[in-house]
Amino acid sequence: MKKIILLAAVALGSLLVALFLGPGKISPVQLGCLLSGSGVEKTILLQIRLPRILAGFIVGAGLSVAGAALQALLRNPLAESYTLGLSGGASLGICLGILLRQTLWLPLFSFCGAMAAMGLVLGLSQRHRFSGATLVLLGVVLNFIFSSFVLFLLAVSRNERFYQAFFWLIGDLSWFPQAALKLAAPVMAGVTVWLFFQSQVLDALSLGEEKAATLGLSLGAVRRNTVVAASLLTGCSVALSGVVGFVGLIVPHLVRIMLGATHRKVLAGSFLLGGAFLVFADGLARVLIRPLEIPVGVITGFFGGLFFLSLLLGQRGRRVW
Amino acid sequence: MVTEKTDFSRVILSAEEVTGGYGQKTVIDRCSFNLEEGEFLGIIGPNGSGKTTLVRLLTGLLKPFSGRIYYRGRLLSRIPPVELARQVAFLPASVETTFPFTVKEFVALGRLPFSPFWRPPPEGEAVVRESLELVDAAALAEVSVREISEGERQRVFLAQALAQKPRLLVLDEPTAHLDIGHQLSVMDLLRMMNQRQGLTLVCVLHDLNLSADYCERLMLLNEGRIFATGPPEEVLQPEIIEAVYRGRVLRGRSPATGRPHLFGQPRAG
Repeated sequence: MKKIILLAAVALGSLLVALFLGPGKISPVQLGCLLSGSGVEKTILLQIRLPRILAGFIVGAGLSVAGAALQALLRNPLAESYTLGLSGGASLGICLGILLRQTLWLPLFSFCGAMAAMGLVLGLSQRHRFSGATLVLLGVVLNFIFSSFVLFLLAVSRNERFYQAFFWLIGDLSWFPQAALKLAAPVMAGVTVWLFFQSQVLDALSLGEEKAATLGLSLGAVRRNTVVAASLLTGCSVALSGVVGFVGLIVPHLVRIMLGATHRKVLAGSFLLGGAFLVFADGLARVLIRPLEIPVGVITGFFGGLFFLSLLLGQRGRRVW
Repeated sequence: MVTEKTDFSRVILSAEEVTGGYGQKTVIDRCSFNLEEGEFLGIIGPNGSGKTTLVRLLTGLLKPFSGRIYYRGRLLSRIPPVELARQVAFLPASVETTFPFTVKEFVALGRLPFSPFWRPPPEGEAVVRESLELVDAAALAEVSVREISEGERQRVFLAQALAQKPRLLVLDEPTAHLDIGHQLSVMDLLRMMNQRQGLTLVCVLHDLNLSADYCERLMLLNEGRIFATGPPEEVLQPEIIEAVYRGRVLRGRSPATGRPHLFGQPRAG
């Protein structure tokens, strides 16, 4: 319990610290003045930086919670939105949405893309009995296929907004449709709460399907619900930030080490730590080479890649396959 | 075919002409039998004879192509999964330990059918403690299930199934991959639960002699059909076993239990 409170404090702290981080330096004293005044800086803080921080939190928390759910569903600690190709599917969905000029409904396109990818992964992995690393290999292949579709669309459409979207899909929080945030926030919160109250179902799923079924679960419904939940979370995240990789892999893993493996703890911890992690990473992206900004996907990709590598090379990884 | 007498008021599970399998493939072919409350039934048979498929049918994991299975007079397929899970527990051949649950958390998952859907089962429950003590794993309570030995893990899986407080426990090769010490401790525990608490047991076993030592009744499967059923004394006869397993065996007696044991006879030369 103490550790969860600590994580909550870290999450809150990350939100506050991130307010100070930006192309221009602001000290805490200045921040107080700015917020009480009515200058252009206040507008920047409240209308640009605050939504961006919230979006960052939603993306990080959403991807981490989705990762934890997918790992339980597939009984594979390497599973997450990015490694399974859900993020790739979602970004293809978004490209289609942009082409069709449905900016308002981008999260919906994104969700459909994630669902389609998930359907492919589950269908193929069940038919061919993929597991462990092979499943992730399948995800990587899907990601490639989806991104070549994106590039294809880019090449044939020659649409100005599309170029912008392309860079955004790399994993960037410096621009996102405001409407997406308004839609993503409640969906993310709702799905997370719902999953939290389903945590014992995830516990049972991670014992294997036979055991889960004889513990009284209706497997079909449970599987379907978990897939939809993970796709919703991924869809919302990608609609806000594009493809941010490995967050859903690192965060649940760390949370299991910190809090333990029951999914009640894993989900609550992943929500808090995942949100904080991405807010922090995005803050870093804003200040690392001031005044230039790096896409946050570059930072998570770098650290996540190293982490994934350490799993592959280390003892923990070897037991996976 | 060995005949049997059945007390129908005590029948807990009954199969009528059950046929089942996967996709187009029939694995179990028209099997009929009754299981009485308090029985310790061993299912034996060569590789691929359908032992696992049969227990999957009996636990409702697999729907039969045709035929009926009744659990205490009710059609199995009509019993809601949670209700069934409160009475029938299954220990599959493999339970997965992907995540580092502690042994206590792991065993507590056996209480799932009894806890409301929005809340995980409490780990501190007396039933969880009792189950851990039964399998002699109380000392492991706080250890991760990924860090214990194969034998300990099998005992923990068993504790999880016992935590369900089942009337009927179905096990698929609970002694596979275990050394003789762990085999005996698992089988002794099962017999103790059977004799003291009246737990009905259906146990798939690979080892014929182990099944002779512990089971009251054996059911021998061959190519998806029940070839013979009855006490070990009647089923474990060289003619029957040789017909099914296609290998020469000699029969003797275990000096430990007095039950029939079979010994494989190597070809001369």
